[in-house]
Amino acid sequence: MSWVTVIWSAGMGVCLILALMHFLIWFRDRKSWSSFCFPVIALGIVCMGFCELSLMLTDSPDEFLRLVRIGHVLFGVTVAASLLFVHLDFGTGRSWLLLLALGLRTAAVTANLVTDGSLHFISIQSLEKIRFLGESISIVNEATENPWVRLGQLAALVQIAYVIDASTRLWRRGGGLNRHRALSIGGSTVLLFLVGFVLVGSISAGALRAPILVSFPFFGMVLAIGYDMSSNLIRTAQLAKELEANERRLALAGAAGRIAFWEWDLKNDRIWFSKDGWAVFGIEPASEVNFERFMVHVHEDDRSRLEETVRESVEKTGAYSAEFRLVATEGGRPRWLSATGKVEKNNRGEPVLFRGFSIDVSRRKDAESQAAQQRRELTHLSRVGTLGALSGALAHELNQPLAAILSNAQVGRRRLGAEPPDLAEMDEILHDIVDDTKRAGNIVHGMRAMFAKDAPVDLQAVDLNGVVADSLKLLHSEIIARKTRIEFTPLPTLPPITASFIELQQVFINLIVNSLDAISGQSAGVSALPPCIRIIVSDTPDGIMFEVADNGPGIPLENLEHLFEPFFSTKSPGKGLGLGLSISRGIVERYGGKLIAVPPEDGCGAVFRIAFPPPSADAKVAACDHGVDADTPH
Amino acid sequence: MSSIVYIIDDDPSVRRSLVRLVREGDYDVEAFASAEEFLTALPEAFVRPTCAVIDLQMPGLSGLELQQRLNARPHPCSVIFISGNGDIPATVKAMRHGAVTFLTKPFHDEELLTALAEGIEVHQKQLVDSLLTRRIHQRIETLSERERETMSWVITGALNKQIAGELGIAERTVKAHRAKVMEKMGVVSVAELVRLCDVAGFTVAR
Repeated sequence: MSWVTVIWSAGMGVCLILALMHFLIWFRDRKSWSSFCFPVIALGIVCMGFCELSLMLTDSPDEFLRLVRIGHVLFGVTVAASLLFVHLDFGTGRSWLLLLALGLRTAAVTANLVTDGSLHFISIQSLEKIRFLGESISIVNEATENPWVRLGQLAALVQIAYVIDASTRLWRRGGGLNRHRALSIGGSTVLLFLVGFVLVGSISAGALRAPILVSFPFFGMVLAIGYDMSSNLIRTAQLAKELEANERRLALAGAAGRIAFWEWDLKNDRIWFSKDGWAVFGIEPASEVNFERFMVHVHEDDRSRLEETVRESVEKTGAYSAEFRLVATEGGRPRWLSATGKVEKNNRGEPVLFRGFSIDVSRRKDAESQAAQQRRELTHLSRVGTLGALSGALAHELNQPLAAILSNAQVGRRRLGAEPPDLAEMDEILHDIVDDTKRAGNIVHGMRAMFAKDAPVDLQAVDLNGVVADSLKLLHSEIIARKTRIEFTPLPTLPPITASFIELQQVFINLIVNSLDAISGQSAGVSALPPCIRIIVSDTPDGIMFEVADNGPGIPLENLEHLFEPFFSTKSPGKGLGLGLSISRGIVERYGGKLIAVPPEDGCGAVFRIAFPPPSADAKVAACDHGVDADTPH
Repeated sequence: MSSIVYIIDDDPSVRRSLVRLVREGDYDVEAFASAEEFLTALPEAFVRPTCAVIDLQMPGLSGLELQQRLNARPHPCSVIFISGNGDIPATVKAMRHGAVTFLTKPFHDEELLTALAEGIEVHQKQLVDSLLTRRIHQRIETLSERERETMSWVITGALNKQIAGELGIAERTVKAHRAKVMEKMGVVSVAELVRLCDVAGFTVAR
């Protein structure tokens, strides 16, 4: 057995097996054309191997020349397949360069077939026998070079250029796998072309006296590709296992948490849901769903808002987050869903896939609206409590007009019998009675308003000057009893705020009562100043600002933030729950404002500052908050 | 003497109604919105029977403080308190400092008119009494030292003989002094004399 035959046969056997294997693999997944190229390359190498073997064993120069010619055709096919493989597998090659390389090689093959002899030699005069691997083989001895061989060499150079370019671009993409492929496949292909170029070139020029061993570099390339494709298979198997595990995890999450995973194919307008996802939305599993059909399941009130959010995500931001209700099923309440998603784009930057998940959050929404309800009730109770504490003062306020009415009416009756009757005076008396009755009525009205539970949509355009003035009226006798002076100048140009009058009044009464308590709480003789509460109103570009300042003992620095915590009170036990400030802050924040205790300065008392944003933003904030409350399920 | 009623209340409609009511009682009336205003307008001393109707809770000087200022004057006027709040400590304090009564708003016309009548009467008596007292003192001034001494014994009910013994003078002299005293004091009986001395606060001898 000659070594040459053994080695060449072995090599061809390997290539044949690889070719067959990968042909079968391609056959299963016919979409991957790079998988098709590979068997072609391998087969081509087998044929070239045969050719080379025959070349080495032949004694006839004419036969030699014929075999060279056939061999070149095979070479051309294999080269084309290699280039195509690189192009399809890497995806980074420049198409025009590829076409140029292919075109040149095709031209070379054509020249090979058309001219005398082959591309390399016009004629071979004689062969020589040399010893190679213990055998004597034929090589070219005397021959006439074909000038067309330059075409082949040019083609080879362009091929090399293309592969180098494609490989470097793949390398630059980064990533271990890409770089490995760039190096192994790209490298071996370049090497192959280079060797072929040099070898054949020097043999045809007569410079090198050696057999044509083109198949071996090809062999190297085949091994590289084969290794790559095999490791691909292993990786695919691993991915499949991971995928299966993932699927099981998703199914678990979906079933347990009522999560629906969805994918929306934007090009074809087709939405897919995960196994449990269909049930979450109440859609027949595996039915054809497009966006329009999907929106039918969304609650009427939320439809336009959701459409806009989706449109903005797809067209602009790429990220998606929304909360909306589904249409209520029979006898049920509308369910709340919270959706999160992301838009995926293709190479050209067009959105192609919208992927995400939605969770049923009805329970959370229920809890939220319950909490809102309780907060309303607590606010109301705090109001009622304040009213109770002020009952003495309010009774006093009522007694004033009542006393006047009684006296006036009794005087009037006495004067009825006068001769002549003094009608002018009666008119005056009755006029005063009417005024005083209205005055008493206002106070009762104010009290009733404070007792009232706030209806959810009781928003009006509130003039803050009026809120302060009304609060001061209600507290009038209390203020006098504590011998406190109030300084307040209304600001007529103050813009109104969309809010609840009663709640804002509650906040002011709370602050003023706190100041009154602080002032009267300090021991006599501590402050030489007569007690005074100053209320300052200002309208700045940043918003509307109110300050309530007293000249009491002030707030110690360490208590400054604790003040707003629920149940924090510096008053003696039994004097209030300590809820006033925390509720007041809650009210102010709900209307988009802030309530802070200004850090104390020397010689000053406590200063509380309320800041509301400029009215344009107000309406939206208040409406949003009250909109949620209005959805209390019943 | 004609009396006068003052009304001090910071609430304008209460003031107006009270002015009407007090006029019904045929009194002269003046109203003030604050204690300070009232004190500024008051004459130096009370010459007419005066009753002040004062609101308890007012900005500035409170009703009780005003009462104290009035009590610091000689022959203070009568004070009636009115209030929208029935505050027990304040009521007690007001009464202890000599208020006629304490009315809670709203009150009936009769309540105020009755109290006014009482208050005016009390102050009138006070003024009259003080006038009388002054006259008595004037008369006492006209007595000589000895006559005064004698009077102090006479009002104890002592006999002339006993007085003579106490003072170390003759009974006849005592009788003479006694007659002078009766004449200068303008009385006809010892009982009257005793009463006058009582009103004037003339001390009894030991």
